[in-house]
Amino acid sequence: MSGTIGVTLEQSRSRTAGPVLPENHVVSEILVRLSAKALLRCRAVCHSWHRRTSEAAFLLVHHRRQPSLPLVTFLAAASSSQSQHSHASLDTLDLRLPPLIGVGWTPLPRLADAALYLHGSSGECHILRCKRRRYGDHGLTTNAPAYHVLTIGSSAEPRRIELASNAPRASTWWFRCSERPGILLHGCLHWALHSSPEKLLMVFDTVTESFRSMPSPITGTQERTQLLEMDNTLAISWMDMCETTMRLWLLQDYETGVWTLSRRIIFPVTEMRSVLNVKWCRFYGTVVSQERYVLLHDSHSSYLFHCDGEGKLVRKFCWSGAVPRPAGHIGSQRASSGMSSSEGNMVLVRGDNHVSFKASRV
Amino acid sequence: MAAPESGDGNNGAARMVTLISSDNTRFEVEAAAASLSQTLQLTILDGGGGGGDGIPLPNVDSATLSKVLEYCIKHAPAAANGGAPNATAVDRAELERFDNEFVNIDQSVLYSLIMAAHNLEIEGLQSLVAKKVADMIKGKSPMEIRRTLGFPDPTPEEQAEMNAHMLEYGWAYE
Repeated sequence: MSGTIGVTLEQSRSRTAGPVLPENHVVSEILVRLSAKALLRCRAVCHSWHRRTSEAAFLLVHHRRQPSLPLVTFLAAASSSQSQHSHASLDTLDLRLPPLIGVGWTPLPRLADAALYLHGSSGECHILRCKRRRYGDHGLTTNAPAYHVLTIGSSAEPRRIELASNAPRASTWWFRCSERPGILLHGCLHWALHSSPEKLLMVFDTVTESFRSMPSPITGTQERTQLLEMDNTLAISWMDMCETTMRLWLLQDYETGVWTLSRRIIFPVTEMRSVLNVKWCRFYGTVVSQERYVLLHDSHSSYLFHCDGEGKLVRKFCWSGAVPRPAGHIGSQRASSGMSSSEGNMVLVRGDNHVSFKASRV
Repeated sequence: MAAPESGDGNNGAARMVTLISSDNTRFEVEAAAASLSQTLQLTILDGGGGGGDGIPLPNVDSATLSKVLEYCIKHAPAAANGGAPNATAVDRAELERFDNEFVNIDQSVLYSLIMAAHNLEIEGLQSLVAKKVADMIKGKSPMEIRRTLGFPDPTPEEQAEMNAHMLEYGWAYE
């Protein structure tokens, strides 16, 4: 079969006796099936593997194959005076594996307010960055966010993106990737507006690189509302004021912006409160899977409750010395994820996996 | 050898086609099985491969081709049912058992299969063999991967790069 191998490794194979994996495009088909950790190790195998696994097209295909992972933020109780956050992601499988007490977590660097996407026409990796600026003099400051687009691997100056004149007042919203990453669908990134008087979603078109807004069925605080992607459809969840019920809307028609209420999940609040040994507490829910599994937490306890789409309590988890907060759902279709920058390298954080981009300083 | 689902509008006995390996061995196989190959499917739809003609496959030797056809014959009935959405659990389990055993083979045969599956564009076989090699890679260090896959020993510079990589991305090696 060696006659069909067109490309060979840069080195001679004459010394090796056994069969050798052909070095050509089938290598990508193999490597794309590995986890991000295993893939990163493969980068050190040889130069050609490093090159293959660094290509944007390969990374995108690899990213799409990765399972969805809930991202959980921990408020470390030991240092609660400093409100220090550690970020960690938990694989759904890990969540189901007892015992959880004492399970370590991976501290990640602070996530920057940025979103990564593949630019529609150029195929380049771009970053949409949000920076809250300080205006004014004599100590009077107002925070208005400014948006810039940067190109990975380019030394070009960041390009300022203006909001449309009819956009919601800039001071009422900004997207924070570390808390709720944007949802990528139909070539656009979507964010729910939190604590905004208007029922709107902000939309960033990754082809034209401009902002617009679209209708939302609900508005609420960040703890209460969550934008999701389910089966290629935008969805939004909302916890009611009593924190016992979650409503889930689906965007039936993307073009006209028609939402329908798809589900109402009633949680076993009494049961969960008895676990916490309290008469009353607030619960916040985060949908973490396509099967509408929900993770619930309250603001103070070390417990995390795992309910199914019917509102049945499936599992409960407890960490000692840390307060977990589900931060969202890392969808498999989403090229945008939480990002952090350290040492000038952009790091795309995907659950417990890191894919590092050789990249420009941000 | 007549398959109960000779389907696709063919009436009566299943249509047969002949494939010719690089070392000139002739294989006669049901068109439905050979059509698992996207490459062959077009030729077969055009009426090729029948009678005494045969379809030459200059990139595939007879040992590999017979292995490829073993896979195609086993998977053809399920594929004819449109990916077998209504297949029974027993059928699926049987295919899974077959697949697991099928890739339990020498590395040289596995590598030949990878190339053949790619050249013939047999989607299921491509994923099956790619997954097998991926399983051989996962959990291994770069050095172990090189040895497993039969790559030559690294040069001192490559060794130094591997060490540097491990230092920089320690968390990926835990």
